[in-house]
Amino acid sequence: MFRRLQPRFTLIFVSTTITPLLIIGLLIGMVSIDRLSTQAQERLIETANTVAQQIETFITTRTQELNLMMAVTGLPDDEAGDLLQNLLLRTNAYERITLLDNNANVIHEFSRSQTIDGPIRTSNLEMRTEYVAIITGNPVYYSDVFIDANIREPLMTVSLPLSDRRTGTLRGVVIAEFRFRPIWELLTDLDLDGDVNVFVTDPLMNNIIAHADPSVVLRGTQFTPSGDFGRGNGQSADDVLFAVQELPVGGNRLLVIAEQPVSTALAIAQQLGTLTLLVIVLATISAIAVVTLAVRHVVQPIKRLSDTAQQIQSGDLSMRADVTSRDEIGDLAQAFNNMTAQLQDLIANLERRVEDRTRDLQVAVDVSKQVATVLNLPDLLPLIVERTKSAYGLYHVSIYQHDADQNRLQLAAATGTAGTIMMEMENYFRLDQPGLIPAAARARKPVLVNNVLAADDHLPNPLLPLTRAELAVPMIVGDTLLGVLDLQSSQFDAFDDDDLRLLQSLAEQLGVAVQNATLYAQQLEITEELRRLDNMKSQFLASMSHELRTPLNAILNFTQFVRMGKLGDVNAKQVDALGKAIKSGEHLLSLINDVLDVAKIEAGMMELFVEDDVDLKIEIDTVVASTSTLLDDKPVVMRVDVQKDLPNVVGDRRRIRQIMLNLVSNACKYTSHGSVHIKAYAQDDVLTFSVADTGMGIPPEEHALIFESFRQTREGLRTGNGTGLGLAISHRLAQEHYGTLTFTSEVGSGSTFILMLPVRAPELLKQVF
Amino acid sequence: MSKTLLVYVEDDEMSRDVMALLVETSLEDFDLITFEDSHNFMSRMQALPKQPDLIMLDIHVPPLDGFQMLRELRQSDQFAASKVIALTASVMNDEVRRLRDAGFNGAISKPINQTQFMQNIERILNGEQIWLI
Repeated sequence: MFRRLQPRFTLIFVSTTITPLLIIGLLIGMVSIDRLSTQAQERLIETANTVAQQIETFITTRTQELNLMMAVTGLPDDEAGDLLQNLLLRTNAYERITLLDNNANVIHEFSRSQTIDGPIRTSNLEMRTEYVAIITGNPVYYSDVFIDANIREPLMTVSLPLSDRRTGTLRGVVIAEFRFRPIWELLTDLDLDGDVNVFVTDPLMNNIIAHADPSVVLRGTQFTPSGDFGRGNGQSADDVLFAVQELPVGGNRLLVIAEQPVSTALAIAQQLGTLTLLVIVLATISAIAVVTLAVRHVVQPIKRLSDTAQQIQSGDLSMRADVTSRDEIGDLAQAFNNMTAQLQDLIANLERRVEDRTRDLQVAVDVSKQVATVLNLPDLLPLIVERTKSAYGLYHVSIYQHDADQNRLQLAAATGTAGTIMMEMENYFRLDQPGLIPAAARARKPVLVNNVLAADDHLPNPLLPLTRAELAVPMIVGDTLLGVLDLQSSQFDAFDDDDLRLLQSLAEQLGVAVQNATLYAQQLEITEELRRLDNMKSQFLASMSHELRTPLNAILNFTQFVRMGKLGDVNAKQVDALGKAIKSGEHLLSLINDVLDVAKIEAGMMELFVEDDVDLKIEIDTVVASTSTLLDDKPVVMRVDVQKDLPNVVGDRRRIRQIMLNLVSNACKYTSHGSVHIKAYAQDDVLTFSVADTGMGIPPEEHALIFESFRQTREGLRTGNGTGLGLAISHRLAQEHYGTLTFTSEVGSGSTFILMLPVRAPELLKQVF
Repeated sequence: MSKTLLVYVEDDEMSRDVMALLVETSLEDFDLITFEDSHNFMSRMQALPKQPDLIMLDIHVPPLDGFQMLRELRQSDQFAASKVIALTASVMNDEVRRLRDAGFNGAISKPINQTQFMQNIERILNGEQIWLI
């Protein structure tokens, strides 16, 4: 949270503002409390003093009053009694006044609250201190404070001597019990601020003897101060400031205590504290408010700036910082906004340029693509000019093809009516002529005129009066100048550098398309010619085969008839000769067949006549029967091992027999002694037919040539047998059967040729005849 | 018991002679009637003294070729089920396929191998189809 500016600033500001304020407030509070309590203490001492003086004055007044009266009478007589009774009645200060003679006899006794019928306290008075003290010469005596049993009030007696006015002889003693009630009233009348409570205690009994509240005294409340002054438990409250003033009365003493509850005494301090606290709180709040406002004033614009920057970063360049203040932040925001606006302009401009260029490129690609699919040159060139014109909104587009033989540029396609007319006029430029188009061809570089009216070398075309800018781009593929693409615009400065590069690359593409179309046309021609030739060849081979076979039919069969004696007797020599003729005829037939087969293979027209149930045992018998004569004059044994249950195969009966015949007859031809061993067996759906001979074998250097057409081994060439086609055809026929034809051979020991055929090749099953 | 009748349509005189000699010397129980061209083919067929057992057609016979003659035979009531084979010097397999698809019962290549020819004739007459054996 404090990573953000606002809370951080607030924290710093508040702590720097509030902390001194708090410290000052605390100091002021402490000092003022100290001062206030001292002042309160002083006031309490003063009050206690004042009250003590008043009490002293009260007691002194009572004593003087009595003294005066005694002095007036001088005798313990009735007059003195009247005076005393008068005194008792006149004031409420006395409870009882007793007048005694020298012998401790009660002369008069008056009580405020009780009816005196005769002597009341006669007993043992002579022993009492009040009396004895005076008799023994003391001028005055004050007794201890005591509680009167009837009225429950604290009382004190004062004893005075009654002396003869003239002789000064002691004539009696007056003992007066005076009350503290007037002091109570005095205390009540004291106008004291701040709950100050003043009362008087008798330290002997610790009774409160005077209090503004009489009930406190009458209840007999006791109180002992915890010192002379200070703070402690009070009478009126638990926590008080107090001051004690000792008041000596005769030999006794009373304590005047003034106390004030701390809460009252320090009320001002507390109020001050509260005030201070309030001020601090207010100061804190206002500080926070001020800081918040200030921070907001500073931070908010920055935050807005930051938010805006983030939005801009995420791609929305239309955002602007909404900061209007005129301070540095306002300046910053203004600068930022300006910068963003510039950036937006720049990007928009860039995007527009990229968009333009992309569109142009796309157009170029489209045009290239469209024209690339057209391989027919007469269709292609008008397409190129029309597409280019419409794609780039041009006024006129034309293509001039380079005719290297005549060293000129021949108009090949042009747009619009002007183009049609120019085409009819068979427009052309010689390469050495002036003008943009020959210039571009000569320079093999684009030639641009962005204001044709101001150009010297521009030749105005009356058919194209609106041309204002012209660009001639040579179409060059490799090193070959194919022609010139001429682009005309009705706008001045229509072509900039980007256009130039773009159109140059377009021209290259178009050049390639033109070249492709040209090559394609040539290729088409060649292909057509080849196809025609191929057809002719096939036709020729078919008819040749037919034409050769027909006379052979007559030759072979008539010879056969003669040889067999069907046309009359023939001698042994004639039979032999006719046999040789037949053999030669058959050889010729096989040559014709071989040549035809090879022609078929090369034309890809070798087609099998597939049957799905070819019994190879029969075919092997046929092969053996027709080749065994080849061994008639040679010491070569033919051995044949054919698996009894050899499975029938799927294939071309005649072709498989042709392969086997080829292999066996080769073995017979090239073996002068030893054996030719034929084996046929099937295993795992593969039929193997092998022919092993003990001939001269094939030298390793000739192994690679064995299955090639028109190649014969040296031995084959030497003996003049065959065409060199047999194994090539057999090899190919094996492949056509999805089988293989392989061999192993060792010079001097012989060769083994192995034909392996799938018993039921699925591919062949599909071709079953 | 009458002899087996063979009809042979062949424009090449030599071939006709070979066939005639072959039947004469080797096929004693056979009679042979030959046509040197295909003019009025059907009427000549219908004019035969008896129903032929086997009709052998050369493919290149003017004015009708072997296929046209076969079509006419197959379209007639009389020869729709007759055994008809091609006797041809053409050995292209696509042609063999055409022959079979057209409805020939077999094909025998020229030049004729006498031994095999006689065996194959027997097999075809027995109902087998023989293709350029």
